[in-house]
Amino acid sequence: MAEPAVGSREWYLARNPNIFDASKPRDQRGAPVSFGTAQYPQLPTSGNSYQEGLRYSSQAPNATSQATQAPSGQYWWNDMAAASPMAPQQPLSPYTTGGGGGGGGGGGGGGAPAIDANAVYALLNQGKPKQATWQNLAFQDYVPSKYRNFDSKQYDMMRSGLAQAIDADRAAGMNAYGDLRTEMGNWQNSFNAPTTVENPTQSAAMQRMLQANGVPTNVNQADTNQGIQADAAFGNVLALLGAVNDQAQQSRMRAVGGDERRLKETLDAERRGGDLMVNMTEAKARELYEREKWEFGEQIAQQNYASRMQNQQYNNAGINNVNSQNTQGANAYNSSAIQTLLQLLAEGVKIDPAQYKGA
Amino acid sequence: MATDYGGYERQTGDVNYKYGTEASTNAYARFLSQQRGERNLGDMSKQFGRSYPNFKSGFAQRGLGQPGVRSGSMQQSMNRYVGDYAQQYQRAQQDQTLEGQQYDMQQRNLDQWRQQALQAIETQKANDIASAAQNLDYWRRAMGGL
Repeated sequence: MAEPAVGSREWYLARNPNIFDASKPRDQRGAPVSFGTAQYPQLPTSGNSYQEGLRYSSQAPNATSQATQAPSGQYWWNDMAAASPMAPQQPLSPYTTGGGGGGGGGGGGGGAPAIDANAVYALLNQGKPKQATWQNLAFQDYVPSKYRNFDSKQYDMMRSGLAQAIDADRAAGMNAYGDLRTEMGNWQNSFNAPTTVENPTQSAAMQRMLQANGVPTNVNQADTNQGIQADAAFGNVLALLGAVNDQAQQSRMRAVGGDERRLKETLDAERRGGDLMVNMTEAKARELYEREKWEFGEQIAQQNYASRMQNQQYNNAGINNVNSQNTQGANAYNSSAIQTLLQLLAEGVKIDPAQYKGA
Repeated sequence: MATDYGGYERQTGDVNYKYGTEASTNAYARFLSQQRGERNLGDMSKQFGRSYPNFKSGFAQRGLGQPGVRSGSMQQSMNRYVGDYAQQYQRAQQDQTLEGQQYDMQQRNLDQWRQQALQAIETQKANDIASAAQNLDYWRRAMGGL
């Protein structure tokens, strides 16, 4: 039986008969924990899927159904890395091109494709170090606090209530004086009434008697004149008292007008005083509100701004740190894989360029 | 608490009561005065009527009152006698009139006093209402201590 070509699956299985033995220790993902120093895994001959390699391996004498627990392709690289370094058994320049039977590599051949330098370059290019990205810190805009306007509703209510109360009291007072005026309008000057009793004139019977006795009817003219004068004097007294009482009544009416005016002025003064107190109180409250609004509002705005900036800085540092770690890990992984690949190439492993070119 | 204005009503009642009693008293006194004056005048006329024949007959006994006799002394006496009666009667009438005017004056004073008293009460009531209306304590309570 001819010796299998180096790098072929037969060659790989011949050299690693127990690589998929279920009795071998494996990690939780199914990857072999370690390989024997003499059992270095090699690149699959075709495809980059480790599952396909398993399919070939199931044909091996020692392969079992448990081989389905084989790791994915990624862990194949880990296997390679874990097995490295190992001494190449058939040194082969990774830059060797051409068909089988080439130099040094354990005799090429077997119809395996010759290694393509472009494929190696493609692999190297694929595993070249990645550039870490940097995310700038996004500065937060300062957002000033928003304030509601000073609410003067309570003070407006007080002013309105004051106005309503004063209007109500003004109406009550004016109604009282209105009733008084009505009552006083019923006043009548009792001294202006006509005289009800006056000295009588000489009766006709008296005149006839005097004439019958030959006595002049004006014999008592002096007394008659006194009666006339007495009536006139009494009339004058009534007129005087009537005039006095007219004046007194007018004075009382003016007093009522004065009381009304005083009530009105007093209520007006109360209104002004009440409004002034409300306005002063409102002015003090508004001043205090404006000051506290600025002080506390500005403080809260600054606190909010500092909090947002702190959060942003934390997130920015976290993102940059994660990016850096990911990049370093990826680069380390690629570097290790490339080294392993180069070693394998140095050992004479054949690589099908069709499988990796342009990958 | 609503203000009680019943006090003013009682004062008004007192005024009207006093006015009523005094006006009644005055009217009754005036009636009595008038009755007394009428009675005096009636008595005076009655007395004159009774004495007049005797007075005139006295001249006839002395031959002065006979028909066709015209005595100057009798005429003079009769003029004095009748004239005095007329004067007394007129003065009595004037006295009665003056008394009546006095009662009328009293009544008018009573009327005037009643009106003034009622006006004073109404004025006090109106001022009280107006004062209550401008009660500052009420404002302070209503305005929450402002």
